[in-house]
Amino acid sequence: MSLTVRTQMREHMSRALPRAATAVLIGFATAALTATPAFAENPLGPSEGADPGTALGTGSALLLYVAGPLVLLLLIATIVWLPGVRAGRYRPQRGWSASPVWFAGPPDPVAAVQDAHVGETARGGASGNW
Amino acid sequence: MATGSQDSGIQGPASASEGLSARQQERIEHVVSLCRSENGLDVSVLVGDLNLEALADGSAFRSGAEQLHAALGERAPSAVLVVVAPGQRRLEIVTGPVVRRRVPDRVAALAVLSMTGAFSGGDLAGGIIDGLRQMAAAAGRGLAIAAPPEMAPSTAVARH
Repeated sequence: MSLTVRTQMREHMSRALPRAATAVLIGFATAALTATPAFAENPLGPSEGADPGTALGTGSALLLYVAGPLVLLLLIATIVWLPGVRAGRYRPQRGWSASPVWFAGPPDPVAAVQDAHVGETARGGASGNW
Repeated sequence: MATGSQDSGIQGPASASEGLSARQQERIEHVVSLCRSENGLDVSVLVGDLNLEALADGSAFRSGAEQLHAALGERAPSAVLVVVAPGQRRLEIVTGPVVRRRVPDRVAALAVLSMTGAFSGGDLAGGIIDGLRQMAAAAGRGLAIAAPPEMAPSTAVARH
């Protein structure tokens, strides 16, 4: 009884070793095969960016990184400000200089106001200021 | 049509430079006519400072606005007059006894609140339009009323 168990264990152990060795071997082989192209010589010559090219001069660097953004900034600011300047937006602190406009008012406002006598026509409403 | 006048109770300083643009006036006119046709609400809007000395009862802004409301004549009892004085920073809504049932003082006060909020932010036309829409919405739908004779293009008074 005990002899059979021992022989089974020995057989089991003798099979486990080659299995592990195969697994490790296959793992390394796969990694090596997939990495092979990385070590290959580039048949088309040096890759892009390998040649640094001519350096950017101080003037052109300023033009590109300072003048360019400034021009863009001014352009966008003009586009934003221009409509507001043209519209003559109402500013409460600056007063009002335009002549009055009466929408759906009487045909002759001047005469109508002069002839108007305040009676019982104005009953309610509300008032406010800002 | 918008009508304007140079003297009498409604007057602005001599140098006219700022003011509502043609587009803004168009928008206000459109909303005023919508109030008439959709809500049957006779709304009139005056944008300009009041020359309070020239008014018969020139003690307060309210009485000036009431006189302007009376100047609407036969329309006055059923008319809502909105007086916006951008330079004096005063706003007055005057309602006649008939229209007051549809536009109670509470509604007018709410419209005043939203209008003054917009005015202090510099949005004159937008505030007027919002206030008119608010009052029209509160008044609900009504029978369309015909345009008053002065709204006919032939009698439109040129603005100065």
